[in-house]
Amino acid sequence: MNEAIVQMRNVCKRFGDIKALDKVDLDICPGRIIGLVGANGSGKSTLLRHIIGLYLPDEGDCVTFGCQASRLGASELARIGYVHQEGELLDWMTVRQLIRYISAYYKDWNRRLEDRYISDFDISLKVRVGSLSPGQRQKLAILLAMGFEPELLILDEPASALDPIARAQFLDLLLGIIQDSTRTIIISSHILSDVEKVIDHLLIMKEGHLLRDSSFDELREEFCRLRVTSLDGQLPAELPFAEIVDCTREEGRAVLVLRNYSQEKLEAQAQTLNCEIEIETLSLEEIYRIIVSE
Amino acid sequence: MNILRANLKHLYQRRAMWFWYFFLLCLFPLFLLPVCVAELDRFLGYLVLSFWWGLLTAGLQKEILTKPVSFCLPGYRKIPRQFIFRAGYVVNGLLGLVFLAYPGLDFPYVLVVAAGGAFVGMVFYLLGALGGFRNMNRNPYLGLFPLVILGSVFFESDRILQQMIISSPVQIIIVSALISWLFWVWLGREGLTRQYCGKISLGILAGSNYAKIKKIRHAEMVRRLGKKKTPFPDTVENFFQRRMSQHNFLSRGKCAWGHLYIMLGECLSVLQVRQLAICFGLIVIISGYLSKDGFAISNMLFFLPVIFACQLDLLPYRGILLPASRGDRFYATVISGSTVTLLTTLAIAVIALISILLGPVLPDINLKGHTFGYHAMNVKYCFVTLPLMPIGFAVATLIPRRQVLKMIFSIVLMEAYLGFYVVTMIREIQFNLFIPPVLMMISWGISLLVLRYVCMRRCLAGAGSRGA
Repeated sequence: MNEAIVQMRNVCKRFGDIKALDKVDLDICPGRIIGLVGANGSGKSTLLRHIIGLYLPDEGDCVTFGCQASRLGASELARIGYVHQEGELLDWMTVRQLIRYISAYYKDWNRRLEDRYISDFDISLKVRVGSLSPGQRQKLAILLAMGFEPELLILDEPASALDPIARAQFLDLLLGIIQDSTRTIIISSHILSDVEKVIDHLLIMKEGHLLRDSSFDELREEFCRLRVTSLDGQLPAELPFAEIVDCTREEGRAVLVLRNYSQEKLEAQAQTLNCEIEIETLSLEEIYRIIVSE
Repeated sequence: MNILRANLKHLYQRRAMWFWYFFLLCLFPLFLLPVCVAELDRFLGYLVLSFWWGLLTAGLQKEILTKPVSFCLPGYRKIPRQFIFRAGYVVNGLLGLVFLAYPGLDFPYVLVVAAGGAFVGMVFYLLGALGGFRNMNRNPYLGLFPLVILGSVFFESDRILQQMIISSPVQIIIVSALISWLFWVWLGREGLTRQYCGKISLGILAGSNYAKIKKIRHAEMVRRLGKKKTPFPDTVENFFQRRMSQHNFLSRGKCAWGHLYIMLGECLSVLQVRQLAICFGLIVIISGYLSKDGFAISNMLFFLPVIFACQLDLLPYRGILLPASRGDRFYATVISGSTVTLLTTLAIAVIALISILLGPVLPDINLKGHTFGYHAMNVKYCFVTLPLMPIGFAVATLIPRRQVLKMIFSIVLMEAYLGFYVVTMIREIQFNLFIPPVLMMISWGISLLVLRYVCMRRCLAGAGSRGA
């Protein structure tokens, strides 16, 4: 296994009485596309800001690229791209001036990529940044974060301000850049249907705690939806399946959500019950709801 | 609870109102003093309070009207009018009572005069309210307010009005009531709520709302810059870009020049040279004429850059991730702070020199038996900016979002400067050549410590940067 590029150990962060992060332990390995999900105020942005050193932990350690986040130097930061939630940009500049300004900091700024994004995102270079719509600002922020092809790309709610077409374009773009297996991407989003198309790893946060840190495939295999149809018209009052998370019944049918299931075992139980079963995987949104409600 | 009562609760629930209550409370004795000293024969000082109270209540109502939810509230549309008139009646009714202290007026005639005073107060209050409603954002012309007061006191227009109230109170009441009625109609018109609904407004009460101030400043900047093709000539951009490119990638030099570029670039992009020149020219001339031998008000101009420094966050755009460590950021803020201080000191020294050159040219003015001579600025006070600006920067960078605190701090600093200035004048203290360097060392030392703390130990974005 590759060495983690981000390591958080027992990280705690308080804002007054609010515990924004509570004893968070996390390892992020290179090449992963990580989805960071959670309700508003669950600590997603706080966690991301710790990684890049904008926030400093009250307790614990946060190490990025082998360097304490508080001491991140220019060479480490030059490997990180960050699109932040607030979309803070230099509003008084024109788009051209802003791109020129940001690109001046990076040795490996990719002009070809810049041109491609400008044309794909339909960004006008002459307009002032402050007059851009929220969607256009977000596109520009994405361009600026990706223009130097960072090793670690942190996207904090990148698609929240985008319209459906721009969101689709953005997802295509993401799918394009994840082809590079060395790049790590952390994407925090509320639009779970978008996130699940690209991620291979999932972090779920709730009230400052990291509830889950696992591979997305593992998580999908952990839960399933089971449709049970009785062949003789009747189902027993108590269904004999283990770890039922949710159950809806109707005459001779039942829809169950199961955890830690085994397909062989389910098929055997179905034969005993004289039932027909159908196993479906759950969407990220459904998995998220189950985990958060526990 | 009825809607009006709920609305009246804003008078104590809105935190920004308490700041202005304090402000009005500070003014209060100043305007009641003439009542106690009858020989002065000036009873209308309270009109300033009425006007300001009108600005506040209208500002409060306008702020509520801009919230789309108030447009949808059933029965809300006539509430601003009721609120404004009730708040006006109570306050002006009380303020009008000052005429009870007017010597030589018989009872019950004095009551009619007091009523006349209250109605005139209501007119000034409504004028303030009109101003509060009409200006969506803070109006710089409010800065002329003290001049208007000084002017009316000098030309004795307040005494003329006071005499009218005393000699013809009934006529005054009728005219004032008519003006109030016109305002009542204006406030009751159908389109009022629609006019303000959803509009961005930075009223007199939004001083503490940093996010709102930033949003409005940007909107204003975009509106102003919209006329220009680029925020500033390309030569400025090219100058900074060239300096940046002269340094290696990831070096401190590149970071410092980049930082200076975004700090000065933003100032240059909104700078209106002509307006600024007119403004400074007027201030230099007016304050020069208002000065007396041994006490030049114009020397207070040396303090203006310090007020500017108290508003200037040396770490702007903290949330943008650039390849610059916290140490690099500290280095860049120190460079930027020193550069801005030196440039500003230079600019204020040039203004002082111009004022000295104007001295022999500007004639004495004779007005109502008084002779006003022009007094130039004293260039030796230039050193004031060097020790005071870094303190301003430190505060602004430490609490960039606490507008009210920054304002209070600049007022305290100004009082200290004024005290220092007056003491040196009265005691005819000569400056020891060692004092400015010692003061500079102390203030720069404090400033460096604060900037280092912010850059190295503080959270740099969002809720984590307390005060940021």
